[in-house]
Amino acid sequence: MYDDELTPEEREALRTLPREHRPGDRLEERTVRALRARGLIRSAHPDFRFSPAWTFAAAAAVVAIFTGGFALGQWLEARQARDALLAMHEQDAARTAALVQRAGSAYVAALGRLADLADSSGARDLQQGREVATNILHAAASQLVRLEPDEPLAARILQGLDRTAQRDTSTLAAAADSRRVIWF
Amino acid sequence: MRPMPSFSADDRVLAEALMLRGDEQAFRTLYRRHTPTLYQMALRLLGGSEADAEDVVQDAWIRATTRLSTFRWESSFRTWLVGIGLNRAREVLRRRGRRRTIDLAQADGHGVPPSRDGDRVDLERAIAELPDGSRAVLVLHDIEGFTHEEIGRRLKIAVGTSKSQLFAARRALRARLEPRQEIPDVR
Repeated sequence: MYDDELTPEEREALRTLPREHRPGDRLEERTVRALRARGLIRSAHPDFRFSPAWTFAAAAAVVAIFTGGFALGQWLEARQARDALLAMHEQDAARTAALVQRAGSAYVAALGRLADLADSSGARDLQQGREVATNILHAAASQLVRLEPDEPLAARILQGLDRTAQRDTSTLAAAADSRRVIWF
Repeated sequence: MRPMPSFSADDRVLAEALMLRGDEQAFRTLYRRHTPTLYQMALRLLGGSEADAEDVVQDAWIRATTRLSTFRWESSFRTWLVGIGLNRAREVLRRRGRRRTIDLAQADGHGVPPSRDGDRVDLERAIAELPDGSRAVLVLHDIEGFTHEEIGRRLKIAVGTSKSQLFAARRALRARLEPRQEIPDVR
């Protein structure tokens, strides 16, 4: 009754019609939202997108945190230095004496730790530590002599350190001379 | 129906991830894989109405995801999904009744796939201009490869009705595509 067959040309024309047509991206998002609202899908990152605005805000926050931390560190350091200076120059003798005590305790504790490490550390590091400690001791003795010129102990320490330093210098000069002789 | 490429193994893994864990990425993969076919079919069945076709696609995915646990994998996922979309499109057509909602002359070719092939655009336009019922049968039979029996079941019409609709659709299509007779200038 309905034997109206397609011609080969008609069949070909229908065959070549596109079988796929991609809708806009909005439809995908719309469908995902609808499924999410029904509890049919769960997002690993709910409603999170790396938008340009988000990226800019994050970068600004990082810069602000870094700058704030840096400024805070600077302020704390400046405050500590200021406290020390105030203690030395503006505070009374009692507070300055307490500062000397704290600094001295730290000095002795550090030297004690250096002695503990004598067996396990390199000779060069130990030598450097010893030289620094001697220089500080010399400077401290000098200040003690200034503080109490008639006090014999500080004067003797200072003299002993000076003699030792002169002997070391002579020894080093002789060694350098001998090396020069060998090389020349 | 024309055989579809087989994605069943991957589709099944993705569908299970979607069903058991609500995996959004699994859904998006399935969506991107099968939606272009579903959307194109819906667009043709509905005479080029993009808004209706989008509604059909969204509703088909919601229904498919809701009923995923009932799918027994006796056909491909795409066949099942397209069937759901077809049911939804049929409901839209039924609501429309005999009323034509799309005036293609005013739509500036909206919904007709862009192509530099003039014949193809003419054919798409001619199909879109067919009455809803006969267009649905022609799209399913002559483009999608359904048999009259399948069309009858899908559209809930008699096989004879499907055949008569196809007959009418082809005749109307030829009439629309025939070159118009030029009126000789007798001056």
